[in-house]
Amino acid sequence: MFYVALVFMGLVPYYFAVKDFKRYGSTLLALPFIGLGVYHFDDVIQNELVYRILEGAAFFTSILTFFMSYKTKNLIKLSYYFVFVNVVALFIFKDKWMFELYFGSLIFSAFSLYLVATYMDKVFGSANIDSITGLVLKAPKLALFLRFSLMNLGLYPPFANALIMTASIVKSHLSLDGYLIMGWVFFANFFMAFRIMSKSLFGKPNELLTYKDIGQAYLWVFTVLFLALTLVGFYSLMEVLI
Amino acid sequence: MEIVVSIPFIPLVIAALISFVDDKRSIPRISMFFSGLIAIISLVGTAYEFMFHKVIVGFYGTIVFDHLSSILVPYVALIGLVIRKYASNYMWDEKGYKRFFIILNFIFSSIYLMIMANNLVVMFIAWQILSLSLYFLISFRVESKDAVRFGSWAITVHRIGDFLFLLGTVLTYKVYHTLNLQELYRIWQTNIEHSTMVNAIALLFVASAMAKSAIIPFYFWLPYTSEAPTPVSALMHAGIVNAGGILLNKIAYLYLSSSIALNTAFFFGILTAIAASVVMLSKPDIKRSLGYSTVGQMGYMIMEAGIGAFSVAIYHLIVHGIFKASLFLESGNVIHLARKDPNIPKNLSYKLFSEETEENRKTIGEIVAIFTIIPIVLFTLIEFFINRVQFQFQAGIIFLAFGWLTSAQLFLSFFKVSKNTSLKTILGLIVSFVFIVLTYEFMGTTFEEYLYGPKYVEFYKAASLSMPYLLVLLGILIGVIVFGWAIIYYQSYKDASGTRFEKLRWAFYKIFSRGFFLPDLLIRYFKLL
Repeated sequence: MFYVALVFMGLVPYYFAVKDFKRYGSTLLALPFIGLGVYHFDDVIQNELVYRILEGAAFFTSILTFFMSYKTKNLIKLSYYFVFVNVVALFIFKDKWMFELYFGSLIFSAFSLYLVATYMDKVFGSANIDSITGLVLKAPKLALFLRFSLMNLGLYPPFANALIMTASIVKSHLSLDGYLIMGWVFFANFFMAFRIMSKSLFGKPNELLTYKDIGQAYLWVFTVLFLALTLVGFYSLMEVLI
Repeated sequence: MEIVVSIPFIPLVIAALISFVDDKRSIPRISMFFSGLIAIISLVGTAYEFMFHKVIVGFYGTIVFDHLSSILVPYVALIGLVIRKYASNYMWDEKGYKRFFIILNFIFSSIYLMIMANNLVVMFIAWQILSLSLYFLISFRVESKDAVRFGSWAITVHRIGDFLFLLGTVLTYKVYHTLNLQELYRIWQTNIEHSTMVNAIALLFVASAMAKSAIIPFYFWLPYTSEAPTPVSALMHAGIVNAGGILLNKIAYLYLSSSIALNTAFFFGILTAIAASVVMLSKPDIKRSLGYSTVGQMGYMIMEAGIGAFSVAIYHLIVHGIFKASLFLESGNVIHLARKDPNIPKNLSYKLFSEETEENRKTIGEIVAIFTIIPIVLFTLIEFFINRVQFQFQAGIIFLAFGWLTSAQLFLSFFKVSKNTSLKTILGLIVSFVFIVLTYEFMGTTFEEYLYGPKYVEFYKAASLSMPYLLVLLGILIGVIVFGWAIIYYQSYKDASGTRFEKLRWAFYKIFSRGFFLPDLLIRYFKLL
């Protein structure tokens, strides 16, 4: 069952099989969540060799996804790629519950990014990060929403992903491969998030587009959800601090 | 007194309040009121520390107000007050006035948290929030391509620093089984062990500090951040780049066990101080020039920590911060004035720097006397009378070498500017020089005893280099300086145009003026993304 969980979480990059991201978007993001559920009811594999092979496969998927993310400018695709890049993170979490928290928060942020992307696609006619620029000036609420998602995905505190990750690894006595994975996850997430941020959030607004911001109510709902996640992150961190 | 430990959270309250305010005029009022409150609380805390020498602990022991905080928190609070006041007028016409104040308060919160953290993880969190907020402020003028690009440079370098910090924290727990700084201080003072792991931890923190303080090889992000609004530049040069020095001071006792890390800090510090000063002189752009000047000053600061003078580094960062913030804020004022009046206001600096009235050539003997003998004699005397302890260690020699270099440069630059060298001017220069060195030494020594007690001598001992290495280093340093002066002399008095020497000089000029070509490489790399 552990393998099934890992496959769902992105061990095998199944996004290759899907061409129409717009249509199957929600399903694609739901699959890793199912994987997380399966993982919850299963024991981590004990066989060292099998464990190492899986770790290698996950690392390979992560690297592959990272390079694929640099080939696309479509925000919808990029929102999935964040999930697949992080599959390797499973191998540095010693505490099962902490990983579930981390991956859950990750899927939530990826889903938020997906929502922003579909909104942009629907309202502006494109989800291309090179075309939709200057959101900070033209659609500040949407920009704030995007900023929250990207800061969480880019592993920056005080958002949950960074806090959970820090709390988990600081006291976990990592091995050498653990340090390698930690470095990879740290930088891969950062580069992916900041590429989107510097292109879409900032820059001169596109004069050919008519910008329309999201409603205040949506912003409030997501701000509250992000705050709740952050509190969960702080809770996990307090266990390390005290 | 526990209220003092809540200082890092007050700017967050300000940011939250501002986000709900729609009236533009209320934003600076809220910001000023609460930052004034922070300044008052911090001063009360400092008075308490001075009187009772008792560490104030809060938030489950994760935040403290100790001796270091009692110096730095009021400093940041007062700088913050000035910058907020200045920004409230300066930024009025900019798009995103509210956004600016919100991010500014996040930056202040992270600086306070970093200074007052009593746990490496808390400090790591503050360290990262500082990087992120800085990125948002540098890219504040979102429509400017350069602002966004240079913001990306800054955040990338800072991210490397963040990772090194994280690695250092993970390894610290692995070796010492605690992340609490008060406990770590006790361990570091009593168990001095020179193991590979301890050296690795110390080096990781040094490298992280170097990234934050723009030390070679991480220097390139700082001079290119001038696209940010003037108050941000002031804050960056007065506060944020000092984070490296603050980190090294916070974990200073660790370096009792790692001479290698101190020597590394010294090497990169001295290299940055010299290289950045030379690049600064070759930059035609005043803002970049000021940026490289700060890089050079950060080099001095890290070098001071590298020779064991941790508290002198603290004094240096405060003085440099006040000086640079004033410079940036004043430059913003001049730009505002120049927009109204195309002529440069004829103030004191104009008279000093632009109105050269009389040509007065000197002989080589006079130049040696004025630029070499007088400064070195004065500096040695002051150093010897105020800080004798330093003279028992190599720190004394290094201070003398740098004192000589900087004071001679100071004299040289003043004489270059104003060639009308009357006896009155010379006396004025000497008196002001004596005053500066006296204050520097006096404050440095006072800080040493206040921050580290008698233990500060141990730092000098730990930082000692092997004698042949030191002599070679000093030899190279003096050789470079004398060679530089010889070039200046040659250039002034001989006609060298068209010679091989002139071609070589231009080749060097090109390398320095392009900042060793690293920025060009980065521009290409970021264009590819």
